[in-house]
Amino acid sequence: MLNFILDILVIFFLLSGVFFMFVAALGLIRLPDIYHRMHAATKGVTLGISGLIIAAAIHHAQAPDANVVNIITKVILVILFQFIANPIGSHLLAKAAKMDDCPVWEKQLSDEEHDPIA
Amino acid sequence: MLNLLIASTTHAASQTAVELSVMDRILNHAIDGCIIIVALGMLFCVIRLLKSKHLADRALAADTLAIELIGLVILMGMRFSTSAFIDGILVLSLLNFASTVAMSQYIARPHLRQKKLQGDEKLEDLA
Repeated sequence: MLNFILDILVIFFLLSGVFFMFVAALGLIRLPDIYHRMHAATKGVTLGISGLIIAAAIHHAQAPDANVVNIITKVILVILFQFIANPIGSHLLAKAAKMDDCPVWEKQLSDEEHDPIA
Repeated sequence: MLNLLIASTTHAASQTAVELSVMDRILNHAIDGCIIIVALGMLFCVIRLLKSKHLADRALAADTLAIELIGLVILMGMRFSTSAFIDGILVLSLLNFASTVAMSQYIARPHLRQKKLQGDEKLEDLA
């Protein structure tokens, strides 16, 4: 019974993670601008990797000769690293694109740098 | 590649002669479908990598491609039912972060130097 519940959990986390990763790739190919693409890709990929690796942890901890502490430590390390590294990398890349005058979408309504309202 | 995967897993199953339960079979089919979807996402990333003009855009596409590769490695570890790939995932994510930072520094370096030459007081430090 416990194995059945754990398998259901594995399938749930697996499908949610793959959904987020596919949405990230779809946004990367469909959106018009580097800033829009960055908005789609970074968030989706972070959540997707988290879901996939939680599913992998539950799946691997079910094995009869599993070292559970080892697996869970590495999984927490990977999730923490993803949640730190993805926003930092995306922020640096956005700053570099802004400095290098990366082309923006022509239907964009306003540029926040040039009309300082708020 | 999928044929190879299925052949190797059935070979391992015949070696150990373990009867798979219904839930394990459902899980294996789910992992196969997830591998196909993640591979489709990698194909999208490659298309964006080839189509886009600007360098930062390509760097973003390469970043996303590497993270989809990490997801594929996780799924393959689940399919082969070995937990040895998690160390590889750590190394891959570290390399991915380092390469993204290096690419953004490479793109922004000439503009930072120009700002410094103009004697701007509000020099934004990139790092």
